[in-house]
Amino acid sequence: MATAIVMPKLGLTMTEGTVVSWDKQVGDAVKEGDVLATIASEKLTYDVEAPASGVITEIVAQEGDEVPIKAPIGYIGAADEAPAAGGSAAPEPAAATTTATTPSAPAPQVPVTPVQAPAAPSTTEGGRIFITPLAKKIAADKGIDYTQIQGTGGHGRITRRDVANFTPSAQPATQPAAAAPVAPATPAATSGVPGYVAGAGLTGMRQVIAKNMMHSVQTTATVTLQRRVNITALMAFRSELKGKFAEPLADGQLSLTTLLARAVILALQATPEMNAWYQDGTYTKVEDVNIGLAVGLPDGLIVPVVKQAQNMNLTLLGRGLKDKASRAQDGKLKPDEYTGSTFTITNLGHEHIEYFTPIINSPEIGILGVGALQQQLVLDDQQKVIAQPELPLSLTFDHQIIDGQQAAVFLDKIANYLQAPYQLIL
Amino acid sequence: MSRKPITFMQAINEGLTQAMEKDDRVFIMGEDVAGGAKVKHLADKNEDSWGGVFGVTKGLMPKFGRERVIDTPVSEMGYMGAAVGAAITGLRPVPELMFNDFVGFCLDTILAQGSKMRYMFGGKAKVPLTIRTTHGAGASGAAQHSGSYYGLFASIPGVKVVVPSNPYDAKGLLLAAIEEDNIVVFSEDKTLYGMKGDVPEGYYTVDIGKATITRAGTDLSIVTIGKMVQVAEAVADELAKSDIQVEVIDLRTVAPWDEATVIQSVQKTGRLIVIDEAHPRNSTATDIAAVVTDKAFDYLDGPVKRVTAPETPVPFASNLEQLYMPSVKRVLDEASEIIDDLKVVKA
Repeated sequence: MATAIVMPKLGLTMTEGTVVSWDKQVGDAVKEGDVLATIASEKLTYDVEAPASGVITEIVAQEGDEVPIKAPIGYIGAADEAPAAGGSAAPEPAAATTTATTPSAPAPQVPVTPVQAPAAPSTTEGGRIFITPLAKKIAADKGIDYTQIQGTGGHGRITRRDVANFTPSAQPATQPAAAAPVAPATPAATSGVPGYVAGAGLTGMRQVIAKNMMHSVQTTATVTLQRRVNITALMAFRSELKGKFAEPLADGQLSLTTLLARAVILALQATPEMNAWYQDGTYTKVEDVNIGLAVGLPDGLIVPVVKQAQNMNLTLLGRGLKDKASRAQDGKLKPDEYTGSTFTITNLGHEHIEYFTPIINSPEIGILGVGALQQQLVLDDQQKVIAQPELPLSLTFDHQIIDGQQAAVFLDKIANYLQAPYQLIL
Repeated sequence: MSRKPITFMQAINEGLTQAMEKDDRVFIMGEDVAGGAKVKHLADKNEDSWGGVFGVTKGLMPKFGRERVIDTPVSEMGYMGAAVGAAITGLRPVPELMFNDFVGFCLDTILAQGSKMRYMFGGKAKVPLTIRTTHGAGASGAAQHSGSYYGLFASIPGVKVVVPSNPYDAKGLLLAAIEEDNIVVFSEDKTLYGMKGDVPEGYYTVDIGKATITRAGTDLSIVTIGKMVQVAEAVADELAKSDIQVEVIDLRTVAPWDEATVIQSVQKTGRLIVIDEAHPRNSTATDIAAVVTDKAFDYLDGPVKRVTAPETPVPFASNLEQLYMPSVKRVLDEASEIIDDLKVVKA
């Protein structure tokens, strides 16, 4: 029996991936664990390995095709096994999969058609329909043609609930998906503009960023609060420690980023409603503080995550942030290292930006934008003019979950930790 | 009549006491089951005996005497053979095998002799023998004291196997086992000994071979054994947050296990997870999965998932031991294939 090679689910919010390249062709013998293809997922590329040994009998998703997670991109069978029904040694672009734009065929003329159009269930790809015994029996009893049903169970199986929720369509199954250009499973892919598809005409990481940003903008109600924090004490604290422990502290644990991250982690622990996810109508407070740090890359950006950061002292946190950031630059992060963050910090200080309005890294509740350090002239207690370093902070929060005052208090907590920095090592 | 909850261990002690009071053919033997009775340094502390390695039989020797509470040498084969012999000649012995991991010493008397006598003598010989033993990881007892081998006994035709999950069942199943005319292996999870629960003071029995539904549900069935009932209940609590109603079945008896109750539940929910602390291959969990797939195939709305220990001995290090045993997280991860889409549909 043929084994499906499926599009892996690599992150909490991933709904589909793009086949970037195939390393094997139909007829090639493969061993379990061999790299078969490269796919582009949330922000990174990833190697798909052979789930079993055998021969590639069919490739159903061509390079450039977008495929929903857990749907087959090809099949492995025994050496003498015929390709699964409906396939051929040189498959034509199947109606059920998408031909995405290629460099030689520039963007506008080919709108990206989603794979899981209602009329073309992914479970039929490769000619087999996966349906549970119970669902099959119920469909037969009710006289429902289950080939029309989109499976939502494990491995894309059709379950009894899929049968129960199915409404027979008036349209024939062979109708192309043009009438419904946007998959119901990815509501974020569309905007209010009819026919607009987020990420259309873009590829790879750019497309993923486009989709994520549109999804966030369309599903959050954002407000951004901005203020400065006097970090005179923090700078003094930092130089004092540096003078004493310069050698063992070479891992970035006294960088401004690390100290700021520590302050944010402590503030999040004191504000659990901010350390949370709001997704698909479910609001979940998360026990662990998984801190995300936006890292710019030559062709986009990624948010590596330091997990369970609440358990880390400055040394561990500094090492963790430095390690993740440097591996992000090298494109070496594993999927679980850039998913699962509960709050994100993004920094445009290096580019001399003071304030900005960051977009929430959905499904999180808030994101903190850090600006460039400012030397401000202020009056001290004796009414003398002095210079003091101030750090501009921009907190964007989702007003669906958090109100303005709560967010301001949260930002004030961060400020308090930065102004009394010994708390960061307690 | 109400009274304070008693522990699992006290429930077994009470069951043994009442069985011995009711029927003078019932007697106990094993290593240290009287242990130290009449020894001066214990008497000085006003203690009558140790009552076995865990203290389960404490107080029985002074009450019933050395003829009915017999300390044996460290010779499992010797006393288990004597118990089989005593059973076929009309007594109702309740020998204690300190840890089920030691069964190799005396398996011949159970497997090759005791379990076959009723069959070999055309039903004329009965073997009313109740072997009490302990199983279970979680106490850092290391590989040779922590295994769960009730499935091994359960694979012997003619042997019934009981694994209680709480004090009430422990007493009622023990009294039913002692009344039973066939070999019953009564396997106690050593980590449950301190568990408290309401137990009637009087004599009562719980039917062998009958499972109990500890929580009714419509979306997903979980069949469990012994202390894994607690994991199943915690999983059910967790999934209830996503509005998924889990039905939890405490198997109580591993051989013969209650097919009717399990299949009826699967027919209702369409989905089954079996949580078993024993090894996964050729095991109780695997047997349940096979029978359900056979007899309830048309009712299945997904594969039967088993969450078990790995196929290794029990580790000594307590952190590894915690990973070894099925946990809420492991159940949610390993059976996600039949859980996750319920969340989606329910949402």
